[in-house]
Amino acid sequence: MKSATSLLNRTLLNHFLGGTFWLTVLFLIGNILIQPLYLWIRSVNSEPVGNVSFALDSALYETLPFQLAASMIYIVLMVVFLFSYKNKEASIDFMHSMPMRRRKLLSHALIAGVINIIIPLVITAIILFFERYFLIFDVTIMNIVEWFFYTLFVLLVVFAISVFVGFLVSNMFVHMQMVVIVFFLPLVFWGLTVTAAEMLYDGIITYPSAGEGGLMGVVVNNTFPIFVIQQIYEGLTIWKMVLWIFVAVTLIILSYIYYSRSRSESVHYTFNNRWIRDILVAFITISGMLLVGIVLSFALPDLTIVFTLAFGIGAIFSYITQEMFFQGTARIKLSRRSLITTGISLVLFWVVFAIGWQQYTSYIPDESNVESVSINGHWSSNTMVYGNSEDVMSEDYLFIEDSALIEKGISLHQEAADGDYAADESEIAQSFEIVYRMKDGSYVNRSYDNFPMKSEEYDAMLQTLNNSQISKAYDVIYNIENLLPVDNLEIHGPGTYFNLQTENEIHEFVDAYQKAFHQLDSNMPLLINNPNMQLISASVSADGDYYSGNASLYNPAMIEKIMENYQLSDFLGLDNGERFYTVDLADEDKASFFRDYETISFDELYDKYSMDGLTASETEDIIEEVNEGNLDASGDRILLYVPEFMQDMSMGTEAMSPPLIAADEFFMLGIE
Amino acid sequence: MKLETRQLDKSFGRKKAVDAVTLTVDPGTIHGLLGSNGAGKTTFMKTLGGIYKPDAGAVLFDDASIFENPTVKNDVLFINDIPYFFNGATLGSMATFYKSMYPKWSTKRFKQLSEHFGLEAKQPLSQLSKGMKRQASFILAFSARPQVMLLDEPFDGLDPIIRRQVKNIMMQDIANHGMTVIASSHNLREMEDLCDSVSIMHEGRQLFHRDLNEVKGSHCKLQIAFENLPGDQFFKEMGVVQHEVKGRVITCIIKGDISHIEEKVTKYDPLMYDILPLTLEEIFAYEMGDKGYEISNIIVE
Repeated sequence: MKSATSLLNRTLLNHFLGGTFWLTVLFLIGNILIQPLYLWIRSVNSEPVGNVSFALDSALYETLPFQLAASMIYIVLMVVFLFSYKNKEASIDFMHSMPMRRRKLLSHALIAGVINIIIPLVITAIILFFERYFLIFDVTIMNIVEWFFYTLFVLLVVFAISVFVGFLVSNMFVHMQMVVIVFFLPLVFWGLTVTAAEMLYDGIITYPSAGEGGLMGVVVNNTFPIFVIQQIYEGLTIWKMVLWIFVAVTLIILSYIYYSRSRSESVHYTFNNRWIRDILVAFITISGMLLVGIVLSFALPDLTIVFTLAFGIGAIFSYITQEMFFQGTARIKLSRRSLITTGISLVLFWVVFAIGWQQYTSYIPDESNVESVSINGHWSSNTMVYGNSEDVMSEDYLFIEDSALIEKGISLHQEAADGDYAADESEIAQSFEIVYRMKDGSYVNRSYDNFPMKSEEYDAMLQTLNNSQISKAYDVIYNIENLLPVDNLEIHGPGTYFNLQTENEIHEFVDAYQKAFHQLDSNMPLLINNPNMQLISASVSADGDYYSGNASLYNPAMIEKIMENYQLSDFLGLDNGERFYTVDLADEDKASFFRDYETISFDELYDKYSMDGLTASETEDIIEEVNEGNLDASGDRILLYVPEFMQDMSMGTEAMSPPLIAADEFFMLGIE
Repeated sequence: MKLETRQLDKSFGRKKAVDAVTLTVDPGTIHGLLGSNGAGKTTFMKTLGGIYKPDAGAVLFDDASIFENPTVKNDVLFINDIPYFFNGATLGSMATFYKSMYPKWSTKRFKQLSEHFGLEAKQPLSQLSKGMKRQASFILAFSARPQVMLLDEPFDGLDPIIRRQVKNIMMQDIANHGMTVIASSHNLREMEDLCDSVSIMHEGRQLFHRDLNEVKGSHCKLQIAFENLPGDQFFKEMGVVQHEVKGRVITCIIKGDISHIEEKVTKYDPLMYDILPLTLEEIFAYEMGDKGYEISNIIVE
């Protein structure tokens, strides 16, 4: 039985190591610059990191995304050079004439590759180990160990993928292209398909405002380079990492099988398998067709013939371009087989595209299967969710379980999906998004642009939305359920913003706000729910997750917190505001006033409700009143004003049509 | 090592580069593989070297297949028509590589040969001329002491003196160690002085395979002039298999017992005669003429 040392040919190993030595030296230098040197500079020139969050709670991870991105590029180059011998006839013949099996040759190349990865990381880790004693912030041994193994995981997976892909081709440049294609073609292909579908069909939304199940999510989250960077911010998903390790091991095993069966004479062809080439050509041609088609369609009139021509030109353009890349020459030769395969693929793609998206956009869930619904439009434009991995927010955030709203939502969805509404350009169009949380835990989301605001269904839905439930569901502070991971809370007003950073301050404020919210809940005034009343918003950061959305100005805890930091008039943009008007409203007039505020011009509103323009001294008085905290959502007196930043905006929109509605120009405050 | 191929096929796509070639080469002999460009010689040689996997048939060295068989490859060394060296390699670094690969490597021999050919171990091979690179490849090959040497166009770029020296070393190895050499070439004359047997390939097929010693021992060329041309009895008695008459001069190829040819010739009272060994070209013409092949169409010098 042979010993391990006799199985390893040191000269062969040295040959492979020597071929990539200087590249590995560059990798090492890059690692040292990005990690130890950066940390040193951070330590010498600045204060400790403080309350800024890091994915794995260490400053060591601040530059990890850059390090990983650069390292992945290194791995691809290293693999390309390591296996460059198999891309030239003379070198592959020479290596294959040597008295050793191909699997031994591959093993030596793989060992050389792993050494090229591990040695620079170990050296960097040793430097970090000693450096940490001289840094003014903590970098624990565990941090270094975690950094080392996470980087190793990422690089070994990229290494395995790059190695396997290399066996499909016999050209260095195409090898590099192939790695990029394998990593990003699914994302690009699906992204372009969804974009084209969004352009051609109404009802599609790429990133829904609420819930999970965005059309891009699955592909984006499983694109390896994106996945590994996301993990730094969102925490490790162990099962996915295990899955990727399994993929890497499988690809290495496949590499052995493929290599032992490969033929040296394949070096004469760019691709070792013609069917792989044909499939790639088809996919890339379709992607290019979509890209060029989308770009041309944006710029040209919205006509079927224009779409057809745009996508047709795109297909021809991308086919020729990718053939130039694959053949490595501008003087390409067209293959009948490839042309036929691509042609059939294009036809199949459009058939599946048309049937698939038609079914997708016409699907409306059965009411009995819907648990809750999130309906979003201009009134929730502040809402944004990024990450959502820490269970910071309550499950009901942005979702309402009201059966009447679900029914109205489905009814409106039906109308939108049927396309019964006419695109009347004289009407003010609205964007309308509906997300269903189904009883089985899944999500269904659709979005329709250019929905006419005067639709009866739309109006009915708005009326249903205009209640206390939506205030609760859409209030980002009210819905914070788990305060532990929250590391920053910002409150934005029309004039400025402030943030709460310390744990105590955040906890006390959120606690007070939520208690006060419950008190307001029993008699929720319309004013708070008015779609144009998002005077203030809040954003919450928690371990890389980010939530922003509406918050209530009239909550006593909020008023108190603002007054601790600013004068209310300053925060609300009253100080430099212009055109102050007040109106006194009886309870029965409020609903129609708020409706008119967002549908008619200010001049019409002024005439209809006998509004009073304030003099300078009256303005001062009312600002003083506001600064004393005398805001009341259920009060009968309404103040309309144009804050400073709105003045700039209105100047820029003077020439636009249709004429501005009051809500576009004026902010509204309820005062005591 | 005895080399044997059985019905060997190798195709590139739809083109058959090697078509049902059966060949046996005895140990300690030199076999010449002749053919024009594109005849399939290099493909055949690479298949012999275990670089290409046969599509059908077998390549056997002492009855063992060579493809993916390091035990056989330890004793088989292939030199390509353009010698390959690693980027930036020196003769010394290539020697280190060969030493790690071939178990019978002789460092002493390497040093002797390097000195003999005047090549320095530290000189980058990329800086050498074509002929010097060829010498370097022979130094490495002879130092590896293989049982079988597969040489694709081995003497291209070598000057006559070096060519002779290389042949001498090769002959020594054949004589002393029983080395077997298979050398491909499109140069008929170069091969006929060197080879014990030859085969000719054309469009992937083996047209011809003969042991030259056997052919030369039983065949000769007779050029003879008569006052009066003899009758058919002459051709029958002499064992003429092919003849050409120009005026009163007959040129013929004789097969059979050629040791007493002179006695037989003098009986016919010729004006003059000359008994010559057959050239490879003549052997081929004699063997293949009937089948419609002309050497000029197959071998281009």
